[in-house]
Amino acid sequence: MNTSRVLGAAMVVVAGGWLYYAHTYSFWVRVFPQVMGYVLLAFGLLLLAQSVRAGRQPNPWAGADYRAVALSILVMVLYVVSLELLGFLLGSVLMFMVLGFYLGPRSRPVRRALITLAFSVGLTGGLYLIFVYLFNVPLPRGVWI
Amino acid sequence: MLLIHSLTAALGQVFLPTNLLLTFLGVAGGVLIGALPGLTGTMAIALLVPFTYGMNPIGALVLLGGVYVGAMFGGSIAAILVNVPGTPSAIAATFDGYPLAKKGKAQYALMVSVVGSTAGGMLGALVLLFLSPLLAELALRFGPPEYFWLGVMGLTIIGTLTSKSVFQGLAGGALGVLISTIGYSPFSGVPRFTFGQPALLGGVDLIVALIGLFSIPEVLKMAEHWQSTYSLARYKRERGVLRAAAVRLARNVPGVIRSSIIGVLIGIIPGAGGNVAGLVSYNEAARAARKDDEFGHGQPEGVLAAQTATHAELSGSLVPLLTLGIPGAPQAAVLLGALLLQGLRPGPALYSGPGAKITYAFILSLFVATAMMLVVGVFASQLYANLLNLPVRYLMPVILLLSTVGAFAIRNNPADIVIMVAIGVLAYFLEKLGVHPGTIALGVILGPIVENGLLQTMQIGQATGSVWALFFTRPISIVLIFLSVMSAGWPLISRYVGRARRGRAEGEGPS
Repeated sequence: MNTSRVLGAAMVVVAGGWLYYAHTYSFWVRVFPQVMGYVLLAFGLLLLAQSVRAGRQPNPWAGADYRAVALSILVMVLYVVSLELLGFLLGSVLMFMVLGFYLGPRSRPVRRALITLAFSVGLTGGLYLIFVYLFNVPLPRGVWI
Repeated sequence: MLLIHSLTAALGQVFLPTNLLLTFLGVAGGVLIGALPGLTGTMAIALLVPFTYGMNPIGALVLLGGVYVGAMFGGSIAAILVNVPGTPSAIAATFDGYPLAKKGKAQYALMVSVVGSTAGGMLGALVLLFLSPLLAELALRFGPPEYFWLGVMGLTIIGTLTSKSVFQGLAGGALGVLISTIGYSPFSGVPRFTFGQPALLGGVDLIVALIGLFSIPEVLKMAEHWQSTYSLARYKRERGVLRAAAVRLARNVPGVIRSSIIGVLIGIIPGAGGNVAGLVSYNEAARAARKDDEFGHGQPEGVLAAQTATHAELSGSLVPLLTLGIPGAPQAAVLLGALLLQGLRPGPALYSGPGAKITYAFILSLFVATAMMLVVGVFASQLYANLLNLPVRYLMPVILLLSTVGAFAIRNNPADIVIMVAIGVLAYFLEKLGVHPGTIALGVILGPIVENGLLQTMQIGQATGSVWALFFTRPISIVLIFLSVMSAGWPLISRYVGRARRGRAEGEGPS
């Protein structure tokens, strides 16, 4: 994988998007983002130019369990999206259970599930009480609780 | 007169029992977080900031300052015992710390680390105490053009110091700046770059962005290697190691001062954090020593140089933060979020009037925190070592949970959770492509400073008919422009010098 090429291309796309939107605004609103958009565009192009010389670069994910990473990102996204429906308490405990179960040894599943459940309920509940009653921050509630 | 008055008032605050307790909690917790590979001090401070919202400013700052100090030392515990830096700042401590531990001198290495950290921390805090009021005085003369150039200088330095390639760092900084332009524009108040999302009208909150940038990538990096456990070097208790470490320190006062100066200077430079300070100081110590070959094979001086510099860097990074609002390190960037949350705007105002008591109490608490770190480090390093293998399957969800709560609590806005996770996942992939999250964070912070400086200068210039003169002829501006050009050109210069040096060495033949 050529990391500079990927990065350069991504930066060119972002800069392009910013410049596309910027030109619709009036002068004082757009002047700074526009300048910075061109700056980012320049760096993106320089990275692309560099990548021609660089050739293949070491894979940044070498030796990593990328399935675990993908699952974690999926869990994060689902967790955030589900907060509206499940609320902070249910959503967090569920997130705990999935991550705790996948990223652990396979032995004695029932025992492990119970430990994770107890830990997550205690921590989530404790945080909920602190924020809702001590700090007056109403954490997201779901449909049921 | 004002200084003495503020200092005495601040002293009274620092030694209040509640504030002492908060400092201690910060240090003790900070050492643990620093010791655990994957949890960094920057992340811990970012996650704690939302919790400090309801606290008084001094309590909040002494707690976070304690975490900063504790985590810096904690990183060296993992560095010495398992050869993995517990925090990025502890990289240089692995070079000689782990070889020492393998020789059965783990406790000695830890004691050298703790006395070095203490010396660096104390000297650094002294510099902060006396240098920052002077710089604050100078900052009074900063107008919009100076702030513009200051921000530009910060952005150019990001690129040169934090990444392998200049363009990766600069691209990260520019991306951060673009993120900061989302929401209502300054002065005119027109919404921009919201992409039709009402949630983006208020812009990306700094603390929300910082939580995402510094915690989510760490969570995902833990997932990469969730199965690996760390094998600890044997820890053998010995008598008199603390004394031996103190003697080692006392015999090398010039080296300690050199490391501290390196640490403070690198701390002041925006973007360059404790890892850079430790590496530079280590290299200088290795170069100054005659018996060069000993370094890297268990030379206590190496641990001493690395830890002294990183702890001096801590205070150095707060100098530009408190006086100009420009953080000198990622941890300081997160502390900026805490200051703003408390309604404290960094700058000369922090050194005069009622705010001065808070500022000096924070600075003085760093001495107290460093002293507490000494005690914790001497008596409890081994206890912390036993916790190094906390399972990832608990750490990951806990961090994700705290990030979610923190991002939500800032504005009670569910959309902020989405923004936090989106920025965090993006930052993870960018880090894989060579862009450090710290560069993006600095861009988000410097963006508004540069934009406000630019727009104000242009408007004043239009009114007086001399835009160019206003930008380019003010004395402080000229110095800042010079520094920006220097830092942008530095990689080229250093590459040229390095090549010349290598060329000469090759010409002399193998030595």
